[in-house]
Amino acid sequence: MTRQLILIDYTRCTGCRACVLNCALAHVGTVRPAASAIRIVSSEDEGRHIPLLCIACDERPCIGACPEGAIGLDERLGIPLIDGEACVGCRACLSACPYHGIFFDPKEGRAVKCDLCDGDPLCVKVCAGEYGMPGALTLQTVEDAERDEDAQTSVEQRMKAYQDMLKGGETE
Amino acid sequence: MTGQTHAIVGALLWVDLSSGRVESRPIERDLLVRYLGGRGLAARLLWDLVSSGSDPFDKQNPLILLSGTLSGTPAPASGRTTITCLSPATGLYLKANAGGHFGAGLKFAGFDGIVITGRAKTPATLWIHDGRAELRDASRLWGKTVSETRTQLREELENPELQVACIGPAGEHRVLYASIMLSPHNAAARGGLGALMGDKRLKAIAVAGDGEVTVAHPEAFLASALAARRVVAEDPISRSLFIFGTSGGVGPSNEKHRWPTRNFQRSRHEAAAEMGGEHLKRGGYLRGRIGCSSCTTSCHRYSVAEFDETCFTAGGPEFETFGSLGAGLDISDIRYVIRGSGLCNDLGLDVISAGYTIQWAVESRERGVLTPEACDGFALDWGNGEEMLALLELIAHREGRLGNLLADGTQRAAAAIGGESWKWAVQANGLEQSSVETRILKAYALAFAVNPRGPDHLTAEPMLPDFTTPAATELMETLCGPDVGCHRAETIEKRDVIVRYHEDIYAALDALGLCAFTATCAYTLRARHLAELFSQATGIETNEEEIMTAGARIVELERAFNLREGRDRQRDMIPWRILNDPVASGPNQGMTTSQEELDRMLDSYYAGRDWDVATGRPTRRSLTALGLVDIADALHAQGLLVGSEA
Repeated sequence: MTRQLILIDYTRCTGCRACVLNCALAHVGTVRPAASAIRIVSSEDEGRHIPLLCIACDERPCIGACPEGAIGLDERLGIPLIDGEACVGCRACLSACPYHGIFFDPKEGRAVKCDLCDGDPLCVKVCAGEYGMPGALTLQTVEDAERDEDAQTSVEQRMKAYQDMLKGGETE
Repeated sequence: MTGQTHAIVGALLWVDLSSGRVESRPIERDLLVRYLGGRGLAARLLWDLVSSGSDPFDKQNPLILLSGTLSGTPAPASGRTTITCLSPATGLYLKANAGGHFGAGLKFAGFDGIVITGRAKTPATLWIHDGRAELRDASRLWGKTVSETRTQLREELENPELQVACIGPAGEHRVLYASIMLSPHNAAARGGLGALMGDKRLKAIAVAGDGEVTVAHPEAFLASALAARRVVAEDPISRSLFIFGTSGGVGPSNEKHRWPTRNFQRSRHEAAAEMGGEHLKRGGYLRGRIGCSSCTTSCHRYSVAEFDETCFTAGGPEFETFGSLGAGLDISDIRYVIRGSGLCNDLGLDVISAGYTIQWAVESRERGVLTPEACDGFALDWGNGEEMLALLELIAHREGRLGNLLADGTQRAAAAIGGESWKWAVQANGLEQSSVETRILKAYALAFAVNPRGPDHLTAEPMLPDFTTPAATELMETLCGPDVGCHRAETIEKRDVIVRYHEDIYAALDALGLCAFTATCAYTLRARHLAELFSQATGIETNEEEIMTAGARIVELERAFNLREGRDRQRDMIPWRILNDPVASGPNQGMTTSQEELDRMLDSYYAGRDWDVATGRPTRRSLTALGLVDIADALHAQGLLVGSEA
């Protein structure tokens, strides 16, 4: 299949968290945001919302970081997937991911990350598709994303905005 | 029926601030079935806990906060939280409702709702996390604004994702239209519930937790929630609300001469093109859109205004903000409306009552009833943005004679300064009317008259006759038949049918925690969708008829509560100006909603609810039909029922 990835335009995010709640329910059968593969970090005083999730990067440092070998590349989807059974919850992958796209589920004691819903991600549907409006999350082919220079800038901008938000919180 | 109840956590937190005691009590399944949760459950608790004729500030009177039954789930636009009490402003039943993420956060922290009684000896914060609750000293937070309080609590409790509900200075000073803010821009604003929170010396409620909301049938619910999202998202009105926000309505209202200006003395503002959602966007003031939990529409705005190279940012402004702080005060510089919006949020003031109280003061000064000495050095003229900002601060802190006068709202202020100033106090039952031209829009006039909390658009938003979307047209025909005459906003025909539908479904939406813009405004979501979502989420089977009946049951109970507080037909009122001062311009120039017109609409409305037409009181028959026999017995015992079956 054509490799696809989720592009994030954080300037369009309204912080509604429909993606977070849908992701959790679809993956674990209960609405537990801590089990979701997306987080929205909000600075309400600035009206700013930043989605964090796996962006299917080429470097995939999470794979090498895992001491248990619990993360492997899914060739078909073109993204790393976590073997939940093998994960021991050491969080090495969380630290290794420069995009803050992996999370820790305290209840299960293991890492969670995006699995692209087997190629048809629900979060994209509820954000931009027929079920919602903001359009912060869109699905694109890897080729299109690489051609789109704006998309690459947007990852850097988003990470900078996220760092600024964290700093803002500390200095306030 | 047995088995676990899903969607709700099943736990209410009871807090007695006088003794400092906190305890968790279960929610009876039967109450959820009958009242659907949220606003309905809170109304029942209020009925049970408040004895009739008590002072709203009696420390035993509760402040009840409830998330919706579907809060925290992916149900569309399920971010609404209800706060209920005996209103400090009206002395009547009050529910105020706000969006955001607090309700969902409360459930993830382990509780569906909170019942707060008593009064703390010193300022307190209620800190709820992972199923536990404790009261903390809030002396350091007293006097702080809403955003300061939130920031300090997030630091103090070392949690940047903390959800905070709090009051600002206005609540601390018991301003009778103080709000409770559920975020920097989500206000439960009307009726003065912030004053009650301040009186209880509760500064804030902070929640955090990694909990879950379970649903009975995950796959079916997910599918239903997605289907419901789609019907809301596809509606043209939803799209307009996303693009322009609620204030997108300013332009169309103005064109039709339905845009209250200068305290309802005019119906059109010549500078309306420089106000409203379109101008926010076009003029570069709009910085972002804000979505409540699981929203499909993101109608809230986030805006910025620049003054001499200083940037002021604010949630909003909404349609109502442009009415109360903009056109109403004849202020057409959008930057002042943005700053005023932010200031009201930060001080914890209801923007509608604040704006209309200042409008009343300006008109009172203009007509010579408010003497120059009473103006505390303020010019109190129209179009004065700087004074508006200064007055908001003054009111929130009850500073000076003027600040203190205005902090009590127009009804009390008019009584205090006398003359004919009560005639331009655009209020009824102690609540300032929202910016809706009820001299023309007759369905709104009726809805405002019977609204249990006073004349506003937030227990029924009957814009149906005006709308031509496919969903609205279909619903209109279902309710009123094929008579196209009913589509006219100015007719009084069948307004009762339209208002009852809006009231009932609105009550059900509030109970479930869904936004009114899903089933009214965007008329695409119907009772069948609510029934499906409720059944699959909770595991309690219901159907569309039962949803509408539960909505009607909530309305009936609220009416019974108000009857116990002395309100019946005599107090189903709209402001004097709406009844007597005609529309100043446009195609409806000269129009009022007369007492005779209102009476005719009320007669049909009461008859439609099977209430006693002469008194507007619920009857034993109407109460029994809705399964409220115990309420009927209680009203009978107090001699409040009329008719042969009383």
